Amino acid sequence: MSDVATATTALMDFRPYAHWIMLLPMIGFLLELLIGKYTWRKGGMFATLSILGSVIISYGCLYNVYVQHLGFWEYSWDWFYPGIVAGFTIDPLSLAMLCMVSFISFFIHFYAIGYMSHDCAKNVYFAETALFTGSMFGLVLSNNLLQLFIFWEMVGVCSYLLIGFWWHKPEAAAAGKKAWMSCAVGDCLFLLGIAMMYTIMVKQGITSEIISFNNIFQNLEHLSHETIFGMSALTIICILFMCGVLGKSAGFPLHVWIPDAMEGPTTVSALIHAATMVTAGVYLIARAFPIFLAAPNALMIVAFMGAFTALYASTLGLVVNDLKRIFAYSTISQLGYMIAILGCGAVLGVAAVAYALFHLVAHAFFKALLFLSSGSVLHGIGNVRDIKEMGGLLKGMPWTGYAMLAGALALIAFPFTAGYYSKDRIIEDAYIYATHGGDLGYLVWVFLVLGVILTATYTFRAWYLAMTGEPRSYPAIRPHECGFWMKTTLVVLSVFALGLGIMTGGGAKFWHFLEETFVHETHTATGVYPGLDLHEIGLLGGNSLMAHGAHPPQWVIYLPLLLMIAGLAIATTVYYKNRIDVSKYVKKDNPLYQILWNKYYLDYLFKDIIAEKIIMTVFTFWDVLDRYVIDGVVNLLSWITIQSGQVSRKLQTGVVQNYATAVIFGVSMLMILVIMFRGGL
Amino acid sequence: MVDYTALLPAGIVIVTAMIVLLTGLFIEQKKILGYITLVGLLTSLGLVLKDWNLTATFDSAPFYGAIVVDPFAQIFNAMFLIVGVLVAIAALKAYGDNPRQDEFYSMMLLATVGMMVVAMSKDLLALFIGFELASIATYAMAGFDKRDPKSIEAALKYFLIGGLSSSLMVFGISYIYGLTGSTNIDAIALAFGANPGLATTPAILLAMVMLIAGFGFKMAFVPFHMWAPDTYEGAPSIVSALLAAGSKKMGFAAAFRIFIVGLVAMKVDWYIAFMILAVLTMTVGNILAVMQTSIKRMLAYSSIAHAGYIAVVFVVVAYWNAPDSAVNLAVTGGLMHAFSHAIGKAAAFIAVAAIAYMILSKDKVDDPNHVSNYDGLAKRAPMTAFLFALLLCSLAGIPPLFGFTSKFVLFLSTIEAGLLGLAIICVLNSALSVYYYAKVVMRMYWGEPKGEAFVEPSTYVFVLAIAVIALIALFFAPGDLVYQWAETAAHAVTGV
Amino acid sequence: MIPLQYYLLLAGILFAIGAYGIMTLSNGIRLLMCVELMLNAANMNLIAFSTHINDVSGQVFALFSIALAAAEAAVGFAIILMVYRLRAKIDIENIKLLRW
Repeated sequence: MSDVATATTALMDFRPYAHWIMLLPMIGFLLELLIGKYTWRKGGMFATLSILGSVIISYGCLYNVYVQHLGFWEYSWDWFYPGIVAGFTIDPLSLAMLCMVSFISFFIHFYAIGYMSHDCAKNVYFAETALFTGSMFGLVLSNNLLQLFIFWEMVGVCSYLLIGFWWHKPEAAAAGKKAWMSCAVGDCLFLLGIAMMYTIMVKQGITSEIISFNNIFQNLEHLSHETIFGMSALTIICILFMCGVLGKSAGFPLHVWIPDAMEGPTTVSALIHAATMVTAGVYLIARAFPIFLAAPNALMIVAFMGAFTALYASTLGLVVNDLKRIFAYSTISQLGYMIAILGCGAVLGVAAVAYALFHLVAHAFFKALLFLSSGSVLHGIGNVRDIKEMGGLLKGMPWTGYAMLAGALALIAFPFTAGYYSKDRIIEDAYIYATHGGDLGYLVWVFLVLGVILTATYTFRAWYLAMTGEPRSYPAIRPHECGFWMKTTLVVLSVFALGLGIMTGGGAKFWHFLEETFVHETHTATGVYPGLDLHEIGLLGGNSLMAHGAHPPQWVIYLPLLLMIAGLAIATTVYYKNRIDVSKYVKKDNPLYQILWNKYYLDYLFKDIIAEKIIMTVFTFWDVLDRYVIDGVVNLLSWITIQSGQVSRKLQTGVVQNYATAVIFGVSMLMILVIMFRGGL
Repeated sequence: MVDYTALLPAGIVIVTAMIVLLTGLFIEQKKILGYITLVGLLTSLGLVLKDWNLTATFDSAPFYGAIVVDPFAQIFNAMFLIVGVLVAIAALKAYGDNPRQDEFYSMMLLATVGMMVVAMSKDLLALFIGFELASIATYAMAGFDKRDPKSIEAALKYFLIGGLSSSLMVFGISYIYGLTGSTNIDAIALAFGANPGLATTPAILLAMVMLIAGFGFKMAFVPFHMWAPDTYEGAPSIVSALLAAGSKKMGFAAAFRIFIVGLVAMKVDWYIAFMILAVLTMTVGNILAVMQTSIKRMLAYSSIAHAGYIAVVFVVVAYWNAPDSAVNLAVTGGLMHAFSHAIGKAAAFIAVAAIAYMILSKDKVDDPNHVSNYDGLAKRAPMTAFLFALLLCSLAGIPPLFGFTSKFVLFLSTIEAGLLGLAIICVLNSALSVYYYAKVVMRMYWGEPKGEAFVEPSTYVFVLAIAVIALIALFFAPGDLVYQWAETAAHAVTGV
Repeated sequence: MIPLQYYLLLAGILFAIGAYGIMTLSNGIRLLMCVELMLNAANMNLIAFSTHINDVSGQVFALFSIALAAAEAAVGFAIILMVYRLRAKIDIENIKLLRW
């Protein structure tokens, strides 16, 4: 007790100031927009400093809860509609996101000071990223669905604006439009889900805090009896939520916008399309986890969608040559892993949330690092993005090269990097899910395991092609290394990408902290929400949670490691070794040549026949399928809309007599209709 | 002695109209009239806002119960006056040098009075008079730019279809009068209540259909909408603002008053009809809005689509399974959406006027409202473009703007009534509408600028800023002022 | 005394003629006349009902309606006059600058 007391006096209670985490970047946005142009380096100062403020408050709250054990905290006030409140919540789940977002966002802003130094509208860029960061904090802190949705839309709008920030590039504008449209569909359905949740809560006679998460969790038992069209209302709501998640977190089939979104500045790709915004979908499932748990079959759908996306996107990562797009597909794939493990929560319970969040945080570090280092590559060789035109960059830009290597190692889950602890745990627990969750559960595990080998291959394909071998284009011959601002960021992120796992005791500390979410009580200004019994909630949805501490067999634990090494070996054989051009060192009549020729032949077999011809053809087919079929459905829908528009606008002839005819026709039709539906005169 | 203070807002507007009309005959420097108009409208608006919760009836001479002031009337009065204020300020700039500006202001004031009378009427006669007063004034306003063939064409089409639908309306009223023996809305409802079979006689059905056509013309329901895009496109932009934001809401005021009382008596027959009307209206409006290359025409179709959203109210009210809470919520949502759409659409048309003014001052173009002229506008006129983008966001229902709140409440009511299919159609339509709003925003922000920067006219920017601030403030308003108001009004009109 | 039905029938016929005219004619003045015809059909209904049920408010309604119709006609003629000044013709059919 005395420890706690001294600790309490040691640091103030930051929790009541949580809203400032969100407000500070918003203030930064306004200052940046209005007077940013006249300040230091023509913009960037206010945004960066305001986010530094958010970092301090976020970590203060973390200290309050994690070290001082001051308890979870929520406060709210009445807002636009009786029963809908605005409020903020501080619990391990939101803290994990807050600390990650504020930290990464701060360093990306720091990096952007260097990266955007040549841009003329710098203050607008920083204003938009500050607004984005503030909205992201708002999303994370929200204690109710509607507020979460509002910030969800705001981060979306910021993201569309930032994708199109380089508006003079037509692809950028088109990409912004595509992102907007892909997400609009998902978001509308998400809103529908929120409205349905509101309605069934009202039916229970609840009049205050109607769509607050904690209040929904308390009433899940009653809500689970509600049905719509003969299906459980909660399942329908969860499916609608899932539509929003697929749009925002780029799940199959709404993932099509992310690769195009890479047209924006690389810092934007790193901040929004890798580390933070796209994880909002994962965060939503995590935040609403008890609802998913209480809804029959909902988590199963989540698990399959996630696992399929993970495998699907990693096959696409193998065939694209654009450095940023490779990482974009990898992001989709890794988000798939997080969504899949959340789906496995049907067996694992809250531990699934902990695993997903740990991978989310680790991914944020190494993917931000990968994007920022590829941004540095682009910066250094004049915006060449095709890896076939790079090569040998490691000599010219060692900092960038090794930073990218660190990120790549973490991404493929190389032992003792952050990804090793986070991803392998997901795969192990997917196996436990499979053993408890029926035969189909194995499919999830198989998808995830297959993803590992592909991940290792495509990641190191990119790294080898870009960094090793001989330069393959003029700009790649003399790359220039990035400056102070960018270098510092790369180093900091590399440290975390490599060491986050070790720092958190192999993730164990993080998991223990996160597993307190939902099951411990939350204090509010007026009372206490008691902790939830997730076992009972799981039973509502027909999910029987497993007792803690099951271990998969040894071979399951080592399998991902072996597959990773296999993938790495494939990439090394195909893309690294044959960069050493054999024929240069040997003459044809050299006896050694015959042996080496065989070697070279083997390489040829590997690279040109197996890799480039067979595998690439298959996966290129995937890619074509992805571009034409899934995009095609979207295009077909818009074609139908436009054609029906073309036809119906012809009715608008401009002749007023025809308009009068339409009125008379309308009257007659209504009359007929009314008579018909009342069964004659 | 009856206390007539509740009628003061309408009275002030009438008096202002007379002052403006008469002084306009004698003075040369007519710009002052705009300020007089503004003072009159603001005073009236202040009184309405002060007594938003007022209920006053006038049963003796000279009104005989034809006029009533209740929260429902007051919320519509506030809408009309707000639109009037916005249009009047914009007119200070648009018609500041026009020698006929006195006519513009007086007609605008008379149109506003007409709309207010419709909102306050409890009698079909008063309703009809108010309707015609507003219509005739706006026919003339639509053709105000009399040298512009488009403006004249707009007025002509508006006038002819308007004449047709008002005769349909009177024809319908005549049957209702003949079968119930009264033109008072409460007495009609009583007659229906006393004789349930009456409501389903063919004559009453025909009368109702004709009333739907008559009001549907103002509200621009498909297929009574066809005049609307032409008129909104051809009329001067600030008149389009008045038409789309004010005159259209008058149609809703009338329809709410009559149908909600009437529909309670005859639910079964009307649910499908209104469902088809609403779905058709929002879908046709949105699909055709996607096709447009003229911004004004796109806004016109978008306002048709919004009429479709508000028409959802009638579906919920007519749905026999809908619980009372859902009916109230629907009317509340309809009123809120009418409110947010009135502000948003009026300001959007005024923004179009501002942009056309700027473009005509610098570029040589045939049609300043063509979408290609909006390329890179954010670089040329940053304030206007920013405010216009926010207005479009409000129309699209993107938070944090009031358009989101109102649409959300409206959709909520359909779900609460159990009309899930309708809710999904609304939501998908809403997603479709994002497309054409986003198209304009993206052209403004990511298009290649076509010339050097404009000098932004401060009057227009001021109007837009007021509207945007209002929309944002209403979104964040704690306890939500408009929601309370709308809910009280909904209780007043549904009586449950 | 003439039964109510005859009045209603006459009004219905007038209304239909007006509606038919508005859909088919192209001269602006004729269109205006058709609108007036429809309005008068409604007025006739009102007056017939008013006499039938012995209530004066129908006739009041008709009087107001006639007055409003006059105001409407005035504005209508003004608009058609403007059309004539711009085009020297009042065939409404060919006025279609605004469409689609």
